[in-house]
Amino acid sequence: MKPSLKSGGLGFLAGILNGLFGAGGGLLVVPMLEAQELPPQKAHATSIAVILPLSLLSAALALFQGRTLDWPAVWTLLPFGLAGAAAGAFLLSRMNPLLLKRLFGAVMLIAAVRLLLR
Amino acid sequence: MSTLFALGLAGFFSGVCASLGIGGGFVLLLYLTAIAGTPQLEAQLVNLIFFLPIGGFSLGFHLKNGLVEKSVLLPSILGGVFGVACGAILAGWLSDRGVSKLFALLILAVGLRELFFSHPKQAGSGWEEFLLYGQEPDRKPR
Repeated sequence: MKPSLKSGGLGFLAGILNGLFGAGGGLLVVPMLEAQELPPQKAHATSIAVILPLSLLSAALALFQGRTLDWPAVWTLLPFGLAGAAAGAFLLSRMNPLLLKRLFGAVMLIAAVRLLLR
Repeated sequence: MSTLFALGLAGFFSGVCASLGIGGGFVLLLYLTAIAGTPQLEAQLVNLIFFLPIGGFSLGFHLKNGLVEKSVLLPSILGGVFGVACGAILAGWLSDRGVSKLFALLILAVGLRELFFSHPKQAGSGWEEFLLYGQEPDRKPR
């Protein structure tokens, strides 16, 4: 298959996840870019370049569909999110990333069960 | 715990996880839907808007450091535009509850993968290292 077709298909699948769930495109894009022989660092950076415009479009479509946006929540979240991003960068070399991934996985399983039973 | 404090905490941990490359978007969505009880579609929109400035900042950094593989961008984004349109139509067609259940199945799969199938080489090996240390991760301080 042509590389551009592969990339187009990859973007299509990531777009479906982003448009449907508002997240999750990176889950597909990073491993699929790595499968196209991109080094992990480039795959992660490139995935942001792919996902960012798709997120912008997803948000625009959601607003166009008349979904309500909780602006006060967004303004509250942003400074904390940026501070968290800086803290995460600081913690990166000081924490065991595998342990973090396992903890994250456990939290996701609990949340999934909670959502399924709601 | 006040709602404001909990929201700030969720934003903070979402930023931490985004920076560590372990799914910041999911953390915020999980808090908003599973804990705060925000309707799924409303939570997704907050999450999307939250990601824009953080993603923009990261992207500027990566472009400056030449880490973005530009050859895949155009086809991926063009394909993605069609995907987003399909996803948005699907989200509008499914009920809020339907999207929520599908999302739960997705995070169930991701959670199982992270818990049982993640390997050290996958963890924290991505863009976040470059956010901190530039293009030479081998030289990062330990």
